[in-house]
Amino acid sequence: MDVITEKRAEMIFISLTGRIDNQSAETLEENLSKIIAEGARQLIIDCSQIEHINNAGLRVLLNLAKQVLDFDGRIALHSPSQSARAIFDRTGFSLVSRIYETREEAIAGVAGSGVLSASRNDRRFVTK
Amino acid sequence: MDKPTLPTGVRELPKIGVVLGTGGIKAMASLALFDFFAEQKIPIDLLVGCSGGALACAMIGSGFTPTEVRDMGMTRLQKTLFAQFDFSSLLGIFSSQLGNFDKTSGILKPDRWRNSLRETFGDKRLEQLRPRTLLQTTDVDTGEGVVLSKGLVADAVYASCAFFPAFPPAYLEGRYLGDGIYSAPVPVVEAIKRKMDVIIALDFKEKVRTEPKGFFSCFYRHIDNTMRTLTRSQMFLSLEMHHHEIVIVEVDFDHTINPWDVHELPAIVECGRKAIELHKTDILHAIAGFSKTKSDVAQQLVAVPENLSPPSNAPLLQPTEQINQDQSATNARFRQTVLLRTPPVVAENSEPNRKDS
Repeated sequence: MDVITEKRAEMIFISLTGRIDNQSAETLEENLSKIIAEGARQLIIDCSQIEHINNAGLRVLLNLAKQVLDFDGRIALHSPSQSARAIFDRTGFSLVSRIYETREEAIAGVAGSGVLSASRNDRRFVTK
Repeated sequence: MDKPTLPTGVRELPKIGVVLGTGGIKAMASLALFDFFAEQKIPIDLLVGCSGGALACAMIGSGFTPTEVRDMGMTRLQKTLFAQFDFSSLLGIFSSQLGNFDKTSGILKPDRWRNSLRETFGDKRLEQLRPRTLLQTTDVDTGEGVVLSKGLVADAVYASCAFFPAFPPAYLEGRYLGDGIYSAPVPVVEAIKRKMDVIIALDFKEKVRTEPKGFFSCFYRHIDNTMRTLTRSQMFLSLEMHHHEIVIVEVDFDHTINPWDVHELPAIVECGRKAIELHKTDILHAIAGFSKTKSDVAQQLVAVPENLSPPSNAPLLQPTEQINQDQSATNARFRQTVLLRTPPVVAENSEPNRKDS
């Protein structure tokens, strides 16, 4: 599993790739908690490259959402792969977290105004 | 993607629970899962079933092989079991002066169906079944979910399948108990409460796109939609509650299959086989991801005399000893220590075995 993050203005773009299982979920949680601790409050998560996500991975995303909301932040998941979409649906995850079809919709959802105002890449790093 | 391989050596297997959801005869698609587990020699610790899934669980728990279950289904599940109308109840739906319908009523008389279940299960009791088998029902008075773990198998299966308003509920343990579909259509939560580590849940779905016509078709579509929402809500709760892994296998059917459509059984089992094929990697990952090498047990095994080593023709999974009772009590995740002689799954390429977690 890889976690790719990219910062644009106030938004943090996160791309999850590969298989998110019990082992990789721990790493994912550490990485995401670090991002929150650094002050990120608007998270856009790209799920298009997720091969599989188990309930440990879903719990991490749910906890992330709780943390962000505790800080009055916003989070949006978008472009789920076929596998991720099926898992979000059958586990009821999509009942509590809206899954956007595209990155643009997710950005609009987080921005609230529907207007994308982020600047070009401020920062980009890859965590494995 | 990693090829899941259960590594050789001294292993601790997770407790494995199989949950079969509601679905009438479609739940027989689960036979493919039991075939898969038998082929991989993976033991099952708990069966939890609801409605059609309850029937399948009870038959496997009673010791029938998947082939026997399919054959018995072909011969015993006949339309005549579901064709004996209770006209007093039926008329009572429309007018209390024409007939009578109350909480103990059903549109169909249950006698033939109950007799068929008694012929199948005899005097066998739930507490005798192996793996341990639990059946989901619903208290008709309160709507509360009631999980049966004891009593006559035939009665418990009937109660779990007693779909309102088709069949009257069963009177068991001082309650009127009906189809579990109304409280937990895919009772994963029960497997979590019983401390299963890896839970494989089969959800049988009809993805029918045509508009429903007629009362019963509309009624069933409504129930089906409600059941989907209930299942998803409970699945979400399960995510929060469970400590390890739940693999949800959706078995999709593209047309309506009635409980008496026994001619569909081969196609149903094939549908299950395809669904299991799609998810077997996830299932094996979940099991392999839990297993851990216990160095202390490994050291003990080193001291085992040669003549106590498993013979070459021994089963793939051999219980060698229980984890000591104290550890077992404090850590329910570790059920038993087993010796794997060879990997149950051979990787399709030359990738090294998955490392222990």
